[in-house]
Amino acid sequence: MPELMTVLTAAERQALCEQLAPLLAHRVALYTAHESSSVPVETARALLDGILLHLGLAGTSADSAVRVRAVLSADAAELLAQGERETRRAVLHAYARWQQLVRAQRGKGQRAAHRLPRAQKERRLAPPFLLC
Amino acid sequence: MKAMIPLPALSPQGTAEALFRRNDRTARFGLTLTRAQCARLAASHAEVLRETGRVEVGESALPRLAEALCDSPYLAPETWEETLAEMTALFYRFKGLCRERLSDDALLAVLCGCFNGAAHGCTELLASLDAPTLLRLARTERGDGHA
Repeated sequence: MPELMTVLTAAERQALCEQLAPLLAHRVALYTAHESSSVPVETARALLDGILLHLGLAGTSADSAVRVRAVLSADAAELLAQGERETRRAVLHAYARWQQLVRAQRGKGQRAAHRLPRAQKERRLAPPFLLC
Repeated sequence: MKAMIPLPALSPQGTAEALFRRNDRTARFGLTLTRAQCARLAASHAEVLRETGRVEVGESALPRLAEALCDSPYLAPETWEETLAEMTALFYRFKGLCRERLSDDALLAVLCGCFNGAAHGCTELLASLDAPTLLRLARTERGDGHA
């Protein structure tokens, strides 16, 4: 697969950088609490990666160039906000699912504890310091 | 993709333009820069950022540095460009040296305080400052008594 930046035209590359610049500037301002106009390259790269992730431009895929063109033709700030909302929703969903699994596992563990032999049940329920 | 999309950065032309516009604040101290001087300073500013491994987005600190420094009694119109270039290099070097613990404004205050104070306008003396000293001066807001 050819590199993304070689697939894009020079004008598109320029336009992409121009779209990303204010988004990155905003992230840098938030990151530094508006106290610094510059950050180390690594920090800027990490902040930019976050932006690219929410814009759907992270990772390599065959339709990356198509996605870049979609970003260029839309309001990048709005797309970023939408991407962030979707990520937040996915994280909350994953967290709820995880809690559900933990509760189910705990219930299963308690039911299984009833079937354990007495000594083992006591050992299981006893505080750790009593098992020493 | 990570390595494919370059980091957006300030254009030297934009920095030069912002610096040129700042002439209206520095002119009352007899310090002005021509467009050619601003372009040279913007180019050296970009080079300093590259050397110190930093990226600047939004508004450049260079015009603010010019404004913060312009009332110094140790400046002359003939050496204004050179001094500003040296102070720019020191500013970004110290930003890295202090590991992001000093804000732009705090570092500007310390740099200008030291430049006008104990360094008596000598940038070589300022260059000898280390991170603990800079942080201490910023904390005590006493840039004039040390260099």
